Amino acid sequence: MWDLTWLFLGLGTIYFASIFYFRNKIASKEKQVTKKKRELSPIISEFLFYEENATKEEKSNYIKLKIEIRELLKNDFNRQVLSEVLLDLQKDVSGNTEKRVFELYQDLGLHLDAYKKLRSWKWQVVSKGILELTQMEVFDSYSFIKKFINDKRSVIRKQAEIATVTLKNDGLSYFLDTTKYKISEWQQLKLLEVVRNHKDFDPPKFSAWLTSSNRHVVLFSLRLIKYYNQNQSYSSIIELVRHRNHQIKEEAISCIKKFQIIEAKDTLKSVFWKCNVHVKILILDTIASLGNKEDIGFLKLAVNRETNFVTKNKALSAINAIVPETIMPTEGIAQVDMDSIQTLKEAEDNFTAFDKALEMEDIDPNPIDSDTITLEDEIETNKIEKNLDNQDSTQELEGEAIATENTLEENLEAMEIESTLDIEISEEFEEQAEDVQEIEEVEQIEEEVEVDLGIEEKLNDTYLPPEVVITEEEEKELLENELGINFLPFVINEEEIEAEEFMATSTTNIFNNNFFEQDSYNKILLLDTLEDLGGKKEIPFLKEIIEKDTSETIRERALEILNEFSETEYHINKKDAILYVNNAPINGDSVFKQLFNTSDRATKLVLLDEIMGIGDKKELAFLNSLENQNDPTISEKVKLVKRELEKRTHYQKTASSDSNEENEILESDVIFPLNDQSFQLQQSITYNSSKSSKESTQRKNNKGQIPLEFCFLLDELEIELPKPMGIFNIDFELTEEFYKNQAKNVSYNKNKKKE
Amino acid sequence: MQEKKRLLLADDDELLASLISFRLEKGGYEVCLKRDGKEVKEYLSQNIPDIIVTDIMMPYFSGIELIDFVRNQLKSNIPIIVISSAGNEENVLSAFELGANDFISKPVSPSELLVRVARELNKT
Repeated sequence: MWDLTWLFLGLGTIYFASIFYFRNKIASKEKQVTKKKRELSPIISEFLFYEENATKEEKSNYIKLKIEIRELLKNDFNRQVLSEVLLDLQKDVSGNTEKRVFELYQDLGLHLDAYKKLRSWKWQVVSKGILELTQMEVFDSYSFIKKFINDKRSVIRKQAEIATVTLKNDGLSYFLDTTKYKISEWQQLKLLEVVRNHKDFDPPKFSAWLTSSNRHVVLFSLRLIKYYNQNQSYSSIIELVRHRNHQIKEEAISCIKKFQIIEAKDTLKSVFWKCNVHVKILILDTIASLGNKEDIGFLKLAVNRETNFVTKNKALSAINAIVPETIMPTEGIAQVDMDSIQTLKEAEDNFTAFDKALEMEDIDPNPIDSDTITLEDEIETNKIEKNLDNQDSTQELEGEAIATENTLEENLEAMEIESTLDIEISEEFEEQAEDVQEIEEVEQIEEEVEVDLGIEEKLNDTYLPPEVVITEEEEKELLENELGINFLPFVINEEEIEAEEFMATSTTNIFNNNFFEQDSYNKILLLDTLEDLGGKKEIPFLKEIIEKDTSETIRERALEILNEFSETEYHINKKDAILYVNNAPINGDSVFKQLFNTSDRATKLVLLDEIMGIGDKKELAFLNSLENQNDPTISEKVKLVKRELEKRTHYQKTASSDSNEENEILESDVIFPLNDQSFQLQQSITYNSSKSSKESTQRKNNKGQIPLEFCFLLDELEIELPKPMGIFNIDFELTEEFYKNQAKNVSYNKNKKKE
Repeated sequence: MQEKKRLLLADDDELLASLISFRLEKGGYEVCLKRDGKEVKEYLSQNIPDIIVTDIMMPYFSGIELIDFVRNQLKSNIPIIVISSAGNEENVLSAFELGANDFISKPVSPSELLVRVARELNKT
């Protein structure tokens, strides 16, 4: 064990000692070389910059230095250092100094050392010798170096190749003639670089080497032909397209393209099918460059027969290169029915013509006063989806749309001529008329026609100009003469005609006819439309509905709209459906009256609090009657509640006047004055202005509703409110927090009652 | 006797610097040879030469920095000739932007450099 330890220790010591020794030896040699270089550099500089016209002193100094250097050169180390110095210098200097360096190198006989190196058996020494002779431009060494061109050691061979080409103008020819080995790509580049920088280099005709048995020589020759633009050897180049080697083939094709050898087209076509993808692409590229219409057939064949995507694409682009836009882009392009587009264009033209015709007429530009009606068109259109799948249905719908447009056009013209209506058509009309063409809108229209309801609404929503203002007299005239037929743009099916005929029986309002004959749902829809589009002029009609209609819901809805249009508040006597105005005090309407009369003092106070919280105008009349109560507390409380109620009703009126704004926030603020403590429940529902008119209608319906929280409270207090004035749906949920608060308030309220 | 113009030659290539220095001395200049940027800076803090010939690539302190130092720190307008290897155009442009007067590329022709130095000194 110890023996092995000693052995390894010994080996380790030897190893590190040898490293230390060799490292120091190299370092010391480096130092010596540096020192020697510093010694030699002034001498070299003196030699390099010595001039014949120097002074005697300089001449004598020069001679001394020459003698000195001869002495130094007797030492091999000095010779080596001097060679290195000169080799380094020749890289950094140019011009006359460089020439002087070359001359000095040979004058000092240093090239003989390089020759000696050529005889070495070590490849690196030989290579270094060749490099020295090449760098120092020892031209006489050419005959010695060229022997190494076919040396089996690749480093020597490559060095010899460069030396041969560098040292003599004919060196390249000799090299191409004699080399048997592969010429690597890198080596070709280096040789080309040497040739390129060679002074007075006269390039031989490289086509001579196109017949070489060494394919690398052929390849290099082709590249040189291309580089030196030697375009005399077309036949050889064309022939090389058939070469088995793909690189040569590619280079030959490249030459063909560069020299525009049209004769090569047939050869290119013939070899095309047997080539690899890369060569095929090159051939197609070349044909695209050289070809004409006659070659389209071949290219189309290539498109059909080739399975490779790139080749196919190249063939297509070649076709387009020869005859531009022969092949149109197809990928990712949706196909469009051109007939439908044509039809739509015609429709567009019709509308444009109609618009122009309107402009030519004497249209009263003055807007009509409050007795006019305005029909708003709120068409929301979608873009045309050019889809093959929907093509058939699209055509049908488009046809219908065109019919619609044409009918509308005729109707409007008739209206204008017969009734001499003053019609204002906004700029939007034209855009909307174009929008009518859009397929999705047409689909929607078809559905609407089939439903056979709300025709007027859809008509107004869809096809009427956005603003058609008609005076009252004209309206009457219109209603008598045109309304039944001409306001309906759809001449599509029998159902629609029936609807038109049905509407024609109306003498008072355009909504009248539909209303009495439709079912309740349709009636409500019509009322919604009426609410959106109508105005004060609908008041008589609404009154008629309230008095004549049998459905309570419809009557209530009509009443709601009536109250909306009217400045006066109307009410219905439900038993005999009598409509009356809410100007006079209606004591009996207050829900609190009966309860109040039968309650004790504490309950009365609580009820008054409730009236303050939830009461409206009805309670005001009731409160008036209570002002002269015997109990001063109740009397004062009544006055207080009355004041609060009056304030709130005033606020509600103000708020309702702003209800038509676009972004509306409906607030239902209910104040519960429960024994000096009040809490406010607030519901805020923000409506987006972009919502449909239907939503708008629903929103308006909610205006007369009480908040849900208050419903719960009333339920707890067992108070019954009058029936709601409209139809509404609860579409929100209450949080747990609300229920907790609610329970707390109710219990608090009950305790108060007990007290 | 006319006083010799002082020339600062900054180049880390000893052999080439020695050769150029020899040629410039022979051309009548008093050449101060410095191997790197530090030496140059030290020298310049005490002496101001008539002209500077500098290599761009130097240890510690490049030729570009030297120009910047001379122009912005020393606020001196002494002529500066830059020596640069071929294919280093960007540095040459930077040198000119900073205030270099002339440029010569490697391999250097010492005779050409001598002419350029003389021309720059004559300008001043």
